[in-house]
Amino acid sequence: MTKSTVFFNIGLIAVGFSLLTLFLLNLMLFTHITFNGIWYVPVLSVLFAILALTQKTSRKYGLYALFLTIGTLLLFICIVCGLLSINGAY
Amino acid sequence: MLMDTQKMILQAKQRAKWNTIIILLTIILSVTPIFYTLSVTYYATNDRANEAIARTTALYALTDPAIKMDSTFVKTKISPLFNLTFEAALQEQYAGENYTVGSYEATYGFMQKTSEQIDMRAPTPTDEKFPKYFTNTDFQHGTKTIQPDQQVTVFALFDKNYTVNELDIFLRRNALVMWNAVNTGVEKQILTSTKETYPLIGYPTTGVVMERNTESAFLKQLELLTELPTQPYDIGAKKRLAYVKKYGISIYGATLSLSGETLNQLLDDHLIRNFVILREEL
Repeated sequence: MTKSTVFFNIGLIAVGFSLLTLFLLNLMLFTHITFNGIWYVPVLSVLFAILALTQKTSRKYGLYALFLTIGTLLLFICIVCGLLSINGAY
Repeated sequence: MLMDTQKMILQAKQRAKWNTIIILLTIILSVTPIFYTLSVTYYATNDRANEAIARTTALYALTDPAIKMDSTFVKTKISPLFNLTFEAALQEQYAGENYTVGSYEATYGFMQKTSEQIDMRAPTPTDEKFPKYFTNTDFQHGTKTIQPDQQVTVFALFDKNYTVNELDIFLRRNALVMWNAVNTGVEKQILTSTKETYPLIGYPTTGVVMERNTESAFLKQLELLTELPTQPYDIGAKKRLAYVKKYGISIYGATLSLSGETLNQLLDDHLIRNFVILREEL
């Protein structure tokens, strides 16, 4: 396996973790259950994304994963802040 | 050379396939969180959700002579389709203690009420309605069906209007006053009509919903309902508030918890004119 293939796969893994983060947010919204033990999913996504950013072949995926993870976290923060301001919502 | 080109084309095709899958998954998984965020933002902006809950709680406290909505324990759910559902416990007082007797659930879509449901744990003499309307035909004059030692909760109309301090007369006769009905100028019309007009309004005297001073809580709640007069129900809040501010608070009726014997005595002594049974203890 060449170096570029390895980094290409790392990029895909980063995107996979970022999509998993988004999926978990969906799951929380549908089930109204807060999953406390999944903080490592977005962390892993960001780590793999940073790794993917270092090589040209995987940079596109790294950027995409980083953007998606940060976007998901921002949505999560917006939702939590909004719910906290509503009586009995959180 | 040909092999390399074929390999590159294959790789490009594979990457394009991955890119399509990733973009499709991103779009599918983003829909719910984005709409949910917009929905939460809509209800959080200008305190829309909290005001709808406060107005409903206030209206319950003002219009129901026996049951209170517990505003401290409200469950609210928001859906991505801009629906707000809130559930609150309904409480009733018996022997000085509050008991949860049912639950209230309402769903709003863009601040318009789309459904409402009241579930009572135990059967009540009449169906629990919100808001509660009384008409001339609801009241009875005699206590034939009530045993002297039977404990009942009734909504009674007094022989005359009283000030809050004068209500001690009922306490001295072992009748616990639980909710005071306030004269707001439209009661004569309500109580002589056979059709539902406006609900009677008043305030609970114990287990206060908003504040310690029940009278100021009553005025605050009525003021809250004048801000959006038709939401969630039109109770003629503006003109009734103006009347109370002009003439002060006078009590023409109340929810009383008492025995059948005491009820008979109050009727015999002409302290109360007539009443509606709200709850009978067996």
